Amino acid sequence: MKRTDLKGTLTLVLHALKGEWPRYAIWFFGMFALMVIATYANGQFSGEEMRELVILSVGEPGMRMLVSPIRPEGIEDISRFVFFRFSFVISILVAIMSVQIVNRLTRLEEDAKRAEMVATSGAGRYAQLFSALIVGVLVNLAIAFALTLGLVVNGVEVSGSIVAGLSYGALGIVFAGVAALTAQLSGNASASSGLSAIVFLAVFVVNALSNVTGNVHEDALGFESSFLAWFSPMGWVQEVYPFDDRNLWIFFLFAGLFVLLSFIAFFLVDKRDVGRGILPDKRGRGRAPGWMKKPLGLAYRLHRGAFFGWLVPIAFVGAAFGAATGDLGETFEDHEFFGEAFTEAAREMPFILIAVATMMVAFYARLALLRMRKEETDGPLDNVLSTPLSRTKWMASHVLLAVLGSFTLVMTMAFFQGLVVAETSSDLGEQLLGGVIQYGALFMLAGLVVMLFGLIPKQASAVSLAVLLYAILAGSFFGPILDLPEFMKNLSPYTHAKFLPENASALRVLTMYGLGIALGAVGFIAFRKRNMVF
Amino acid sequence: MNAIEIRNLTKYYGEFQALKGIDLDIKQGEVLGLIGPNGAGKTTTVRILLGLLKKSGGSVKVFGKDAWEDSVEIHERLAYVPDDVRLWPKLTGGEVIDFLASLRGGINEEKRAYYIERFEFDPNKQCRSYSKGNRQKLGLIAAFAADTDLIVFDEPTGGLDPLMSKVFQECVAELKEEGKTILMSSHILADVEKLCDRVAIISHGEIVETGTLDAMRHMKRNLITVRTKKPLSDLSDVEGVHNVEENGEALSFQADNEKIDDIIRHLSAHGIQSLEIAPPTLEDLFMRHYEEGYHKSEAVRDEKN
Ligand SMILES: Nc1ncnc2c1ncn2[C@@H]1O[C@H](COP(=O)(O)OP(=O)(O)O)[C@@H](O)[C@H]1O
Ligand SMILES: [Mg+2]
Repeated sequence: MKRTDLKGTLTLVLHALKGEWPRYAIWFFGMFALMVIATYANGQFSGEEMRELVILSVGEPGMRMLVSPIRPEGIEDISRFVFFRFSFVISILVAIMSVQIVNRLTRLEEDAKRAEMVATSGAGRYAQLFSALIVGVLVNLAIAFALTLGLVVNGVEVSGSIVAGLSYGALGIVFAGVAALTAQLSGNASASSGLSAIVFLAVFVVNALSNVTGNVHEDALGFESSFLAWFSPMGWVQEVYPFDDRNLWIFFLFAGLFVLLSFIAFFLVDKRDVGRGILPDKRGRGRAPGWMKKPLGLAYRLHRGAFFGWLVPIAFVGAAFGAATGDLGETFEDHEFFGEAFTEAAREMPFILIAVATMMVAFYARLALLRMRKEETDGPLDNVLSTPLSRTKWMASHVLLAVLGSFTLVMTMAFFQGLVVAETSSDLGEQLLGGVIQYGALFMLAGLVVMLFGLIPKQASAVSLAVLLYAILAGSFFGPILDLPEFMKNLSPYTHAKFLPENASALRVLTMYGLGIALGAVGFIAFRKRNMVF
Repeated sequence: MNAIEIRNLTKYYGEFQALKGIDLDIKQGEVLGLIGPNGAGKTTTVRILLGLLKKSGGSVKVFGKDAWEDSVEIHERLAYVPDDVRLWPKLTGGEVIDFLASLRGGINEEKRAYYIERFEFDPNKQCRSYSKGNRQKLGLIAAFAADTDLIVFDEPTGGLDPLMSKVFQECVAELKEEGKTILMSSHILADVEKLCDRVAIISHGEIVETGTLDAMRHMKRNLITVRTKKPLSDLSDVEGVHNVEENGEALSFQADNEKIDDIIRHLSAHGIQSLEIAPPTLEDLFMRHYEEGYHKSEAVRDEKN
């Protein structure tokens, strides 16, 4: 490596900070707010209530996937309790953020052909990637600070808070490394974020399994992860125990993995051309098959990569969730003294997991719908709409595939989970019904994305992400944990999709489907009336 | 009959007025060149014509129909090649040609094969691996293979090498023979000079000149280079003389056509030793029209790069 290979890095870092700071500011204040609210709201529980909540979650293997290990000692302390419940969501958010930051500064730049200009304007070969990693690290340190601050203002001990904050920053930094690597492997930005998402899913599943197979303390007052935790950076975060053991040496693991990932990424930079991936371009067919010559066929061709990329993992997640909740009955026999409440909770568990999966699939639906915006900014749309194809038909083909695709994903998850947990076919039918109910919330959000695309194309990406995160955090799963005020929870469609089919109101669910159609229709009309904008 | 009729077309991007009342007619079977520097408003005009952008004022008719309201019907008879052909990175060139041509009402297999061969295009590669020139060829083939009445090109030779530019010109000449109507925007004058029946010069959102090249040349200045026995010190004061420059022994200047007689008389009074008169190139016509704005358009170009 020559010294000039990094030339221009500082300029690019400053350029990125200047152009992207609003995104970073939103993440910073969002994470700060999340931490403050979560700590404050959970601080209102009495010690007894905290213990009950821990027992309820730890007693169910399925639920253990979504919390982090805690020990019987000091459960009543808000510092430990808040991470017991929030480690999962903070980890997801930090990972999404890091992948997005690095992907935007590397692959997206290349796709937009700006990277080529940067490369020919005298910047070194590694400057683009190096600057993206620097920005990724800086933002994650800022997020660590935001999390720490969120704890400290609630009166949590300072040094433990710093370690806790840094552990999530470190996880984020590792995912910056992951994104740097996938950016080199894939041919374009969406393939790269798809690959990162699959890596994240793997990291999540390994960690979830480590919790499920972990060692439950007496009376379900906490648990330890199994050795599997060491195979997942998400598990490492949970092994730090910032308020107990304070295992600072784990930070060397994070640093080591980050350096390794970045090193491979830099190595691959040399092995490929700007604008290409390391996986070679295949020689393809010179003619289009009949189905692909129709708008719907082409849309299918464009959506199918991401769709099948999600289909297999989501089926796997369904089966894994099912397997984890499958032996519920046995666990509860040991805790008969909990009685009714527990049986109810046990029945609800698979439906909660369907809701969580639907929240994940919402990210797929958003990206699939924003595919339309990508067609518009990347150029093909000008070509397509200068043919006799009407705007409405073009849009309908993409919306149809995004909706069908996300619906299939949700139902696949429910089906595979059902296969494992259901004892009768009516049980399986009930699982699928749970999927249809939860999908109502997603459908309404999809309608909203379509509307944003029609009305405010330039802001559609940012606004839809904000709306989606809000809907998830204020929804049926996280809303109650965050103890948000009723009106805030009610704004999220997920709040109105009750977990158990017998608790869900048919009227509300149908209303959500209806609203989805109405919002979508606004999008269709607006799109017909607007300019094509890059 | 006019294939395209543009009347008093205006377009604002926010506060900025990109088009300031464009009037333009293109007859059926005519090849019209829309020429002007970067930022003049060519792409804006073309995208409004295609119903991709909304006009701010005026009227735009294609085959007698409104460009925005009836865009779908208009598109049945038209093919368009944008200034930067950008398509789906994972699809092959052949797939894209088939898709676009099918949407345009079916592939003419014979033409498809013919143009792929003419442009020496490899249809088996994924779009992301094509260079700008190859993407341009792809757009051209997809348009030619569809067999439509009207073809709109925005800066068609931008990425083509000289050899392929020549092939392109031959293809357009063939289409002209077939009686197709062609609108071609460009800032490359050589394209337009050879192919177009008429040109319209656009600058800062206004059409400053329309007509055949011959008609325009008459109105314009000739470039004269002269050597005389007696020094021509007072030449700039003669009516119809512009931009006098010393050229070693000789002087060169531009002369208005209608004053040419007086000017030559003045020269011969000083004893002409040698005299060259060159007709204006399109370049000269063009330069004159945006001399005032020239530095501005340079700046625009720099910004874009
Ligand atoms: N989307 C836009 N927003 C604002 N200004 C624009 C936009 N598109 C073009 N312009 C401006 O309008 C003018 C005409 O642009 P354009 O039609 O692209 O010119 P040309 O194709 O002749 O180079 C330029 O000054 C350009 O900067
Ligand atoms: Mg242009």
